[in-house]
Amino acid sequence: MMDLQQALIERIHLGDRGGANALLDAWALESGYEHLLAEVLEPALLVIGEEWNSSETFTLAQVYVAAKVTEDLLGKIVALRKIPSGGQPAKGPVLIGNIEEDFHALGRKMVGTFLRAEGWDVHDLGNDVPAALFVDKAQEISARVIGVSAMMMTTACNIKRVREEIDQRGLTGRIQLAVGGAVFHVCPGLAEEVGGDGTAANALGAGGLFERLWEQSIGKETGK
Amino acid sequence: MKSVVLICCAVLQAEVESLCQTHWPDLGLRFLPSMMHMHPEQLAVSLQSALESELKQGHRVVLVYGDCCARMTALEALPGVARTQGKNCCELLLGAEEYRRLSHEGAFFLIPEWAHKWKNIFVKEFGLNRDNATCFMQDMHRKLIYLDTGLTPTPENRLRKCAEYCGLPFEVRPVSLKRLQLAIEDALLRCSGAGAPV
Repeated sequence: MMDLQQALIERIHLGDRGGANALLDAWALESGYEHLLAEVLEPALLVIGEEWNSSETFTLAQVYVAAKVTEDLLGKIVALRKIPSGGQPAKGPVLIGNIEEDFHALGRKMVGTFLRAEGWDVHDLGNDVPAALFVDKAQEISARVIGVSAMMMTTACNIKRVREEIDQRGLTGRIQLAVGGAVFHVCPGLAEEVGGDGTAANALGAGGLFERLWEQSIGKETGK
Repeated sequence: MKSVVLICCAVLQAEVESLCQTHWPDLGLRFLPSMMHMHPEQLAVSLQSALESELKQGHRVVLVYGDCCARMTALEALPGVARTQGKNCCELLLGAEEYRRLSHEGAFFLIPEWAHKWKNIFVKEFGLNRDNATCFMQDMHRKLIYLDTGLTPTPENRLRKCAEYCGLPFEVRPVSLKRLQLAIEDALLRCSGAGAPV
């Protein structure tokens, strides 16, 4: 198993999406797709996530290919009905989008892919989303977590409006605000400054963050 | 009267030099490599160093930049410093409204200086081979738009090759330098105190 994980990481390092998929398909032929996500891909992604945080040579292509391989695998698993499908994800509905005036979609799309891989029912509002629309939609679909992405300082500051919308509607705590994007990695404290309830080191950490915020939301409602 | 220096991203070098020749022949000019945009932390260090050396000489400074690194907000807040108002260089040329409209149409913008380096950026900086580039660009965008500022011949062949590599159509959009000129004029006023002549 470790050999397969290492080989997969090497394919992703090379930006070789086809090669990575071929490795996973070969393993699935013998062992099925059922455990592939948890036993092979997720541990490999953890390693890639750590490298992504620590290496200055990690390229956009490597990050992108990791997300696409995940997306490819999810598609196969769903097609084979090996994980809940047909609109019945294992976890609840969550919302993601780029804040108003922000058009850097890559990070948001990767977050969506990795959240889906962990069973969340992801609703993606796209780029340049006004604050009120985030909260309207969250209320409509009963999302407990809104994930808002911003690439730059100027657009990150627009996230404060989402915080204000949540608070003005009396939804503080009930709807949790996750924030992320390149600028948050280099500006410690910015997540709190814009009113975020939490952030993650990268897209691969979004699953853990949303899990924690979801629990916080339930805790707020139940008083625990 | 203290002199003013423009510290600019070289992505707009031809455009800024052209405007300066016509409107502000006495301003100092300093350009930093546009490829620093790929490494925002290096850009922040270089910008800070350039800025400090100008301020030490008693110059006021206009940063002809978008919001290109996380430290930009702190740098532009220094006394005697102002930045052109715009999120990035494309918005400086197009204006906020048009930039937003075209972005919603899925545009990926190419500025002349950048267009000459497209392959280096895609292959070396992004690490995108042709297959990944096509997939990536089609995931994120619907077309390439070359912002033709009219200062150099339109690189049709280069644009065609870039478009093929990305698997997207391209269009050439003429843009005047008027918006950039206004953005610099506004920053000149702000760096020298409200309404003061420069």
